[in-house]
Amino acid sequence: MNVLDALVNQAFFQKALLAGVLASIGCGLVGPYVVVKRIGYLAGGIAHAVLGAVGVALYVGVDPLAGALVGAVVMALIVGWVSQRLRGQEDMVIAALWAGGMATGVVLMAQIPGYQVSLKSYLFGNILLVTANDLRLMAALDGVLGLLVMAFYRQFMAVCFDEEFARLRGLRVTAFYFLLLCLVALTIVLLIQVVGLILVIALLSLPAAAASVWTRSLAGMMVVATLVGLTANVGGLALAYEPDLPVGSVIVLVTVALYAAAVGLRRLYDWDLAR
Amino acid sequence: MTDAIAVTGLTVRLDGVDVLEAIDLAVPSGEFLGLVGPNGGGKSVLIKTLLGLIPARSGRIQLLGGPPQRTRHRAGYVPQYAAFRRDFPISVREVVLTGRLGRTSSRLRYTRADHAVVQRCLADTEIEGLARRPLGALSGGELQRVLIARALACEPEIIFLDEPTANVDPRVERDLFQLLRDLNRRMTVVVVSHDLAFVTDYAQRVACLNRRLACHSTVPLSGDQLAELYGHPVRAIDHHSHA
Repeated sequence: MNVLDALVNQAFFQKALLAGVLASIGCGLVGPYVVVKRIGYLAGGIAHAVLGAVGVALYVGVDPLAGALVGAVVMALIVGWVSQRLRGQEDMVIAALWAGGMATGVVLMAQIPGYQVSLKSYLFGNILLVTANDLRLMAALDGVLGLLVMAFYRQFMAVCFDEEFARLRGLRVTAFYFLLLCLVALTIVLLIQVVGLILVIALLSLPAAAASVWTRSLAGMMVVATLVGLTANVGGLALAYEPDLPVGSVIVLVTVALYAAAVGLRRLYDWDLAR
Repeated sequence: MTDAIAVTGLTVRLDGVDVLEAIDLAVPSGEFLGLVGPNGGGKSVLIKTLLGLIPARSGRIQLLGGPPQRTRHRAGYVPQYAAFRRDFPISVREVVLTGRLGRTSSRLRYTRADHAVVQRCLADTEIEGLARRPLGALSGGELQRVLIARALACEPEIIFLDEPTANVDPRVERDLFQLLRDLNRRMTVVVVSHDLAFVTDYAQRVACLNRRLACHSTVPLSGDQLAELYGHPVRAIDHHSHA
């Protein structure tokens, strides 16, 4: 069965496509902040440590996605606190949280019979298994992200651009920094279903990084990053379907290719102008 | 009228070292104060302490009649090393607009009045033509004007400038000091500069800072006084003789 047939006839494929669209919106809204604020490493730490929370949730028998949601926000606050307190030397502590959280998840999930499959889908994502419930949660997360970004666009920009000046203007810089990390946490939960927590960082940073070389404003970056994410998600899904390749990984490969193309074309364009 | 700045017995310690000691300073409203001194003498630290960005170990600071944390939104600040990345996706107008934060009447967006203030600040600093330019495409002198415009957008009663002429050529330097002189007609100006000649030309009073503070009215700075402050002989160029 080819991609177009699947699109028309297969409910699971339609859901997967919708999941891709919802994920693109999240990474388009929040990715630019990750890139301009240079918090990719912090985001990676939060993403991996989320597995610990998922493990705890499964172990005590609550909804793993709820566990991921709570765990991601808690991790964002811890990582934020660490990065504020240990300015310049937070690397090792974040590495410890990163690996420790992940190991906790693996150990706890090993105690539950039959959950090895589930472990793999958290690590690498499984967009073809998204449920209607997952989609509702993803849409709700996009809504929250959209509202917060619209409400605090100026403040987030000021804090990302020049913290010291923002503080002088009376902004609660630390509070906004923590709020920003919480947005990153929500986006990670949004993306885990699609590409898994190991590859989340690709969707969180590369579409925005690709957008950054072609845009001059944060808002423009958000629009272009969303489009790049959309292309990667839809393209990856289509490419992976017929040869039955792991969808999340193909999406990431398309993202990497788009990023490389964006940077490469920019170089070529500037070089052509300079001649 | 209260002083714009009133500091008594200020001591600041950073990483176990006293970088400022027993500072007393009173700056009347409307003054143009130059702050000079050797590198590491604490000039930037003093400004940041006056703005409440660095905590004082002891002493009392009154900025515009109150503690800095409460009054600093009425001050403008032009930092020495821009704390931001030049490739940040932001235009000149957007940078200057951030000066309206804490002043604007709207919670969600910049109002028409905010845009009007920004337009006036762009005009005052003669960078209207650059408004749409991305920050990364500016020269050193242009960037300096953007930072001054951003500080002016706060509609400050006092403006602090930390080495505003560090990365600009002499002609631009002269223009910048002329701009500061114009601004001084409506606000108190405090300028940190390494360039004694320029500062003494424009400032009403020069304070020399090397961990401790010594104040002088502009002209008579003797070679001995300079040597004492800088710790080595300094050749002062008398700017007035060829002005």
